[in-house]
Amino acid sequence: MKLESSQKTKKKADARYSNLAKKEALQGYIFITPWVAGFIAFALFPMIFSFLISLTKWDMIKPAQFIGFENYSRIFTEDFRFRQALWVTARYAALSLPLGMAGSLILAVMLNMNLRGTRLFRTIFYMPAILPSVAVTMLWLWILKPRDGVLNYLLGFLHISPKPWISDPNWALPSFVIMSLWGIGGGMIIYLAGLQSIPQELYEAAEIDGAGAWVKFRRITLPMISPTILFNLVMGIIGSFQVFTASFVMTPNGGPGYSTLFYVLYLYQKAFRYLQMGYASALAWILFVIILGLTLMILRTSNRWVYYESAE
Amino acid sequence: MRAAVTAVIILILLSAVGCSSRKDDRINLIITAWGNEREEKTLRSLIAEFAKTHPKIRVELQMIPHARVFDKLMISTAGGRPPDVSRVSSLWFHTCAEKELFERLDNYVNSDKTFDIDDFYQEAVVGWGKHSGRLYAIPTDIDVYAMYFNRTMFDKAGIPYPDWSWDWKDYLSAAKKLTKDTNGDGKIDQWGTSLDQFWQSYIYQNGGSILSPDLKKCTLNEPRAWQALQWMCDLINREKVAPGAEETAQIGTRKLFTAGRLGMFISGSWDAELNFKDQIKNFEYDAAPLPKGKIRATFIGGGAYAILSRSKHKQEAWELVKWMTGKEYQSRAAIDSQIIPSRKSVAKSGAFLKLKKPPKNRAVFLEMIKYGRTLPPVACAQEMNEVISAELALAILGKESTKTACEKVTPKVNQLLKYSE
Amino acid sequence: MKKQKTFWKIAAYTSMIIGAGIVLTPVAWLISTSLKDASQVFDPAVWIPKPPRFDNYTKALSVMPFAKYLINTCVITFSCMALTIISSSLAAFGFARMRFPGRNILFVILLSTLMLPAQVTMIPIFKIWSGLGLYDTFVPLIAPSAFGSAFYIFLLRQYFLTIPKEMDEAARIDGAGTFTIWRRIVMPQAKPALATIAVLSFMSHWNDFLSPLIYLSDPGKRTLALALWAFQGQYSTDWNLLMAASTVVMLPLLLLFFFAQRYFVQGVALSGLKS
Repeated sequence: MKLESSQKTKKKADARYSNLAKKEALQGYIFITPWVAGFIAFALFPMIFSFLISLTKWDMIKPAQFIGFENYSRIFTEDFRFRQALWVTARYAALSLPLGMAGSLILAVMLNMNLRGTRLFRTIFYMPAILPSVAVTMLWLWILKPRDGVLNYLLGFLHISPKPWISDPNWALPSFVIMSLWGIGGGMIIYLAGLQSIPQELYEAAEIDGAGAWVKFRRITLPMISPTILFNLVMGIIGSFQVFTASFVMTPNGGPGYSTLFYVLYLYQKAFRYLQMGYASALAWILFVIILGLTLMILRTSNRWVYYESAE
Repeated sequence: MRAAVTAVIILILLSAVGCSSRKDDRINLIITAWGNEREEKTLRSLIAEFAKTHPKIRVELQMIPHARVFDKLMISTAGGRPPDVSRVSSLWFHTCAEKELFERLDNYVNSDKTFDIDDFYQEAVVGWGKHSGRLYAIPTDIDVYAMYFNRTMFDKAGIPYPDWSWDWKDYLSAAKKLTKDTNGDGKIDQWGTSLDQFWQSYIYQNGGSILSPDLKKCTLNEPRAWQALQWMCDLINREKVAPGAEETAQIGTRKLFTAGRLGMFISGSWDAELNFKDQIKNFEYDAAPLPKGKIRATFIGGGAYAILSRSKHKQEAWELVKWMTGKEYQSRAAIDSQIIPSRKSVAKSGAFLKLKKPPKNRAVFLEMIKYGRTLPPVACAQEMNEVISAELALAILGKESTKTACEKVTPKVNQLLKYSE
Repeated sequence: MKKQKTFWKIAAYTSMIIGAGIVLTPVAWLISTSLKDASQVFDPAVWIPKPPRFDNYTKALSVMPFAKYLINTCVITFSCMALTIISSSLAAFGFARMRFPGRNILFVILLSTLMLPAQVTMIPIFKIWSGLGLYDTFVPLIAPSAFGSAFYIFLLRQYFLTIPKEMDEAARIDGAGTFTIWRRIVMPQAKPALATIAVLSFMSHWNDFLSPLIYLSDPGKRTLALALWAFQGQYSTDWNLLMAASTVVMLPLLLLFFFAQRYFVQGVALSGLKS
């Protein structure tokens, strides 16, 4: 008898609980509805649509023509600008990432030493990263002028001959690298946060054992912030592949000999200047696959060199 | 919280207001054009007069830098809201016409008795008015290139002025005599000449071509083409009579000419008014024909006005186009800006010829018209031009021979041609 | 040991001073050139122009209707900020506090959209907006913010998770509905994170170049970024004016940065660690 009634109460409680759960679930869905709607409208549907467009020849004026994978085969077998764009972007990443990451890490380490005036330095170093790209590009256009630009003027003091910068195919890309180095403050802030989460005890223990600064850096600092390095590396690669504003404002035609034809610049030209939407969509999908592939590759190999404290 | 919500609502309302068009029962036409301050003034006063005779139409002028008009027309057409009328350049006219960006004007012209298409130079109409035999734009001016030269510099060096007898050899020897280091610092400060802004001219003068006559193949890899380009690049790199990329990236060859440091400068008739009038102070200049290569040829192009095919007010747009290509505008442009009119009646009327300002020998521009060669009228003209220029930049810098550059570029252009139908 | 420490200290100080000098010099040139007379623009030896031409600024600003462009940029930026904060915090609350089937899967999907490059969806979205007749309006620039941004949702969700639930439960006992809890309990406690998002959102929309480039056609609708680009196209040889205009465009961000620095730093730090 008693069992029956307690079972009944349990059932009632269950029923009430599941009603509550249902209500909460419904409310949960309502809260995320804007995001879901946005996801469908601005991510899912456009992705599918974009893939379909990439199978056509379409200029948004006349009707689309289905051509199967012809765009893709053209891109891979015949398109020299595609290869050039990949080369330019890869070269840019290879030049700017190591320098930038090392530089921002060193700056972060110095800032982390808690010397006086750290805050001021932090402000100064971080500032370039937040400025509008268009304005920054204008400034550098002026600095990099070959004849009377200030950069060449200063190099003259160091007895370095003036460089032709943007007008020369060998120096145009390095110009962009220099511009990017001016903005390493962004990465620096991330490293700083990572550094600040390293427990001091580790350093103190190492000091007791007689470790010098370099050993401390190599054995404690680097491993402890390897997740941050990983993050910056991934973001850096994705970022290199998405450089647009600077290249568009400085070299809208891709630079002499297409030496600064960044991938997204090429995509923009194909889409919005020549109105070859199908081709541009194919380029976009290839970009997606490249970024995805690179990221996965890095993440997979990261097990070997990234140290996660929780992975013990 | 409440404040934030009200702020959002206000802002959304503001932005909605920002994008609604003005309530007017007049028809609103948007016209895009390029030009400097003076040309803008001329355009605006013309449009004001148009408004007087057409009170039901309101015209809004949007000035855009020359290099960006093409992009703007392409994107805004794809976006669905192009301007109604636009000034178009012969450089990319065919690209746009192929995509049917422009309204076909044959019917308008045929049914409008007040408009006389025969008054226009046929070179212009065929060159950048018609595409595939159909009329898409009305040419408004002719841009033909001839040679400006610094008379004072020639006098000082004791060289006779350039004339119709000159060929490439005479040109080169004169340039050599004019190139010198005037202040003894070891660097050349005065050059004989600069390059023609249109490398295509050199090819034409050498009897070569960019594309085959049927426009299906690229012929830049033929000797006549790349040898001409090599001669052009040698002016900078071997003969050293023309300033190189470093000097030009800075100030531009035009400023070198107006500063009196360049002997010969190839450009259009408009340069005299647009730039030289204000900037040339210390010397006298005049105009001369371009030297003969194997044949005599020069670049010819120009502007035109077209109605965008997505315009909602095509009849009114036609009225505006007629006005902008009418005799008044062309006379005024000829007088104010030394732009060669596309109407024969205006050209011969002396509005252009009878001007009292330099260059005295301005008739040479009119005479060069018959030697004018337009750029190939293909649909991929714009893209083709960019691909070739990118590679040619390397040759001009002396990093590779033009033979290599042309051999590299020819298959790329052929690809473009193959896919552009 | 102490000697080593002081050595490193001095090394660090010297490097930072040199570094700061390198970083600040371009800014110095910017301001210096913006005050130069046209004849001095290409004279790199002149650091402080005499006389300083403050009228460069008035000239630059009058050549184009910068006031209108400022208003345009403000309308877009502030609308986006407000919409983003509301929609992102709603979604973040749902992911952080509410339980519903599929929540984890949806959250993973949300994170994966961070990997999606904008270029993949750029063209179809352009087509959609132009098909709706909304090309050359502010709508394509503002509307996406009404649906939340994956990055900010992520940030906020992490932050919400750290807010203790006791107050929630107390309010619920008092009969508060979920929405009220969101509005009255959780949001006020999330002010630091919200400030960070406000600041980051401001920066990204103020600096946005590609979207206005593609969607806006009427010169009157230009944003400051577009205006500066147009300025360069028209007056590319007037470097002193161009530098003045650039300074003006940079100024609001510089001011915001100096006054709200820690929010920038906070946001960047918050995002970097938890990945």
